[in-house]
Amino acid sequence: MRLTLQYPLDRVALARYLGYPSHQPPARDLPLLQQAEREILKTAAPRCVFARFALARTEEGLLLGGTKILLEGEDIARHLAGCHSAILFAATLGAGIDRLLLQAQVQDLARSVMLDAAASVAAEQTAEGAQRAAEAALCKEGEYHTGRFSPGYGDLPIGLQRQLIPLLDAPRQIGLTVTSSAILAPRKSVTALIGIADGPVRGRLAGCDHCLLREKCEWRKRGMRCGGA
Amino acid sequence: MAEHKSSYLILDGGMGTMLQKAGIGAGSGGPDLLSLANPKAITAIHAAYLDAGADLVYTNTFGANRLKTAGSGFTVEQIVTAATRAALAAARERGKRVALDIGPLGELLEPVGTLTFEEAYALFAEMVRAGAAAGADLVVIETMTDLYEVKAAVLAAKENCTLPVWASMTFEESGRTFTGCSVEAMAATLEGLGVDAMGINCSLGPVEILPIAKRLCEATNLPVFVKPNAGLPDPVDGSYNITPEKFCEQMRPYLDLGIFAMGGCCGTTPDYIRLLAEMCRDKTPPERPAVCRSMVCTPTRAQQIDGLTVVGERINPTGKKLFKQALADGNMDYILTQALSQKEAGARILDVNVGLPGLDEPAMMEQVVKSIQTVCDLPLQLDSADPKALARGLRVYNGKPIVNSVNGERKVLDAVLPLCKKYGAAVIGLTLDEGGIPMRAEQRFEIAQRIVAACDDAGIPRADIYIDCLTLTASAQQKEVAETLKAIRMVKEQLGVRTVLGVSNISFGLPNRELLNASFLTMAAAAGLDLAIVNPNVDSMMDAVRAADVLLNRDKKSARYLAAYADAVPVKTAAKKGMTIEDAIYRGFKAEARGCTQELLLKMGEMRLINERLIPALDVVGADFEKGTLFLPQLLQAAAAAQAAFDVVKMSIAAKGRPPVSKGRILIATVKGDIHDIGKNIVKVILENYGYEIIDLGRDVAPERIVQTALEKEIRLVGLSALMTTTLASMEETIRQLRAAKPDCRIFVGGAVLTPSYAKKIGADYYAKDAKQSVDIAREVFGE
Repeated sequence: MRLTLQYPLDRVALARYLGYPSHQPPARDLPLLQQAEREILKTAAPRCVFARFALARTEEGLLLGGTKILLEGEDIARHLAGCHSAILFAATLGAGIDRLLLQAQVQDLARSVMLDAAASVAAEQTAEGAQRAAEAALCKEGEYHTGRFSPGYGDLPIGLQRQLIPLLDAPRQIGLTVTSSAILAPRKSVTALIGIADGPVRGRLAGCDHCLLREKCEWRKRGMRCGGA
Repeated sequence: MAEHKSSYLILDGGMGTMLQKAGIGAGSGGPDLLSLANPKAITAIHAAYLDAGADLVYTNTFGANRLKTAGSGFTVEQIVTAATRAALAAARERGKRVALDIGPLGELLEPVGTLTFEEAYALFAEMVRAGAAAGADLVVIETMTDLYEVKAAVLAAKENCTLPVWASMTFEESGRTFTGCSVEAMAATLEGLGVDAMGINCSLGPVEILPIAKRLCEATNLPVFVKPNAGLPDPVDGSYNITPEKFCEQMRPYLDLGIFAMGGCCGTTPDYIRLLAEMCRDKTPPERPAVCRSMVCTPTRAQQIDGLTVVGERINPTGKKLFKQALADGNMDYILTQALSQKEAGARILDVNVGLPGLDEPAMMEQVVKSIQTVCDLPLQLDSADPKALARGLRVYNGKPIVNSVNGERKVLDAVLPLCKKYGAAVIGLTLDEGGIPMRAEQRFEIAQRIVAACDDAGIPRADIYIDCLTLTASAQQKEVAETLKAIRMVKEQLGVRTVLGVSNISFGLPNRELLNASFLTMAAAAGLDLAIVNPNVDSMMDAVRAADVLLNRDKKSARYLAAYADAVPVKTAAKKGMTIEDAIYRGFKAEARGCTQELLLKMGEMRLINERLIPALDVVGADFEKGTLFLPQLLQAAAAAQAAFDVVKMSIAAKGRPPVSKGRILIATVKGDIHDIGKNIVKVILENYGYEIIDLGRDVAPERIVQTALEKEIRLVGLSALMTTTLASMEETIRQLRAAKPDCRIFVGGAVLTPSYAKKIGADYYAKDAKQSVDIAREVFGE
């Protein structure tokens, strides 16, 4: 499924990626940043694919129903507590972005850092769009859902990507693959799980407890959270 | 497949669809294993298609490669053999044929993914050998989105069996694949590689594929086939909803295209194929008009050559000290910058020459071709006198290139033309031979005839031949200038091939060379020149090209000319008066930094300038970055300005014939398995700013290569980066191997998931939280 993105991208998120302290980029960088945003929007081909699974709580742990895929870790269990099903989606900006970033790195690093940040924000916004599309298509009347939760977040292993991508037939559906080291290719891509329940659920985002970056996270030092919170 | 000219060949429909319908496939470890677990069911599906009217079935081996079947407990050979036998069991008794089906590997090749071209080749070759041994009648490569992967598969098929090879790719409505490959690029590349038929399958229904299939038919002389889906999938449940009748109705317009075979893909069943076979019965595919286009391409850019086209000449070390140095150091960035700046200036093709005495030219050609196609989408012209270098470059080139060059010498023609034929390259033929360059146009024409005849014999089409009638210098051979122009006209008019010239030789030995070059280019364009090998970064050359395009009525309504010149403003004076080098660097002004450096070089020597002005200026930038008053993009702009200043210094040093400045040599790399390298690249630029010599091995680098380079280049400091938890293990392994092989080597590490404590745990000497800190580490290791 195709998705759309609009100019401007989320500038607050963009400022955060680039390490600007306030919510606004400094005037000196603004023209370049706007140009980077437009270039990313022109090159991106945002797409998503999704599917719904019943959740099976077995002796081995939490399974995506009908598969042998185990959702390991305390954080995802907490996030999906109270949910009987889950939506799995994958979203990508496409391979054109990878080519643009590779080229920019050779030409102008400052520009390439801005493009990279803009692409990351665009990927987040695409995930946002994918989540809305998936919920509209797969949530039934009267069902409630959680926020999205991705492999690598908290203690849900990033290696899970190796199983989720084939499960969604993502290579054929949206051109999204995963490398042997569990890196999504094209790079600016997201996979995530959304819990579905019959009553209100909030889900628990991973927080910092299991985060690998907790020792050195600049946001945490400033009392902030990632994930747009 | 010429036997099917008089009637349509009917292909089968979806295999996965039938497995789903039969309720088999789920939970059995994937459809490919069913050929072993339940071969009868697979044979029954093939039989159903054949009985419905299919003349050919695809084996159930779409994903039967080693990447996808690893851990299944079966070898690729076992799976492919079982699947081929299951298909033959249905086909042989009906007198029909079986195609070994090869689908995409499921992982992307470099540079977007990490799989190498050679690994992809080996994975495909394994399937081909098994399928051919089991008795398949042909090989069909299908549902591909990456042209590079198709090339690996086609070579694997052609080099590991003698069966016919077909290939089809899957497109979006835009006429491009997910990876950006256009249908024209596919046609040019696959026809060059010598497939027997090509086509389009999957992703879309008959209605959406029709315009793309038309474009394909207009782009190739080869037989074309299509296998559309049963319409578009339902976004919610993924099902296909058009009926067999509707499908067939939508397939009717294909009867006018001149394709030779059709079938179905996802969502189609024997019912669809039955109606399709009925529709095609007793019908004859119409003849397609012959396609005669001169094309070269990369996956994303198909360049048709019909009149003046600029070939950038600057990727060539001849007479360039910095380029030679870059080649000797394996410094790809220098070469890539040259590629991109020529593209920006208007080059449409890039000549690539990496011949340098003492250098392994074949290996370098391969490396440079791979590097350039990572960042630049212009088609390449591989320029070498060494057939081995050409072969290496041609093999890994992604698309259809030009080979520069052959000449009238028999042994050159015999060595190079078969390579051009095998890899589908166009070829440049120089009108000279054992006797040297003949003076008269008629003699050069005679050599051109010989070259064209040899190409005809080798099976290289006329549209892929470019004759170089050779530019002599006007200062030494003034009356022969006209002979070159005359020869161009003769070749164009009488041989039906394209022409090419290196232009700048005309002015050798005379003042104001640009004027002569531009004038000669215009005259040659009027005589019918197609490829002009020039330096596109010289404005007067591009001016001459644009002018010729107007005067020869190629630039309709002077649109490009107007775009280039209508709003042209006089060039601004660059250096702002009174700006210091420190200001220029702090504010990221490259031109000003360059200007200030040139002035300062006259007053102070290179080393004093570096140590007393440039590095202190960078220290201020670094300090403000640490304080949080200057941000990453600004730090990098400052670094680029400093780089511009350093380039001026480097050139001054090189001009004096002195060795380059180095405060110490540092090796950096992103570890095996990881492709996130922006952080590493930032570290590299900042360290270079401070005068360190950086050997950058790139990303996804094996520990062995890092160790070997560290030993060879006597490295004292190695920087490693990794962004993923999954690749930290390869960082640890790299450190372990480095410690064992070169204990005196210091190691610093960085990357998103690393922390100081983790760095210590895996045995690194230093953790660098950012590029600034890597400078502090280098200063500590090398002393100051």
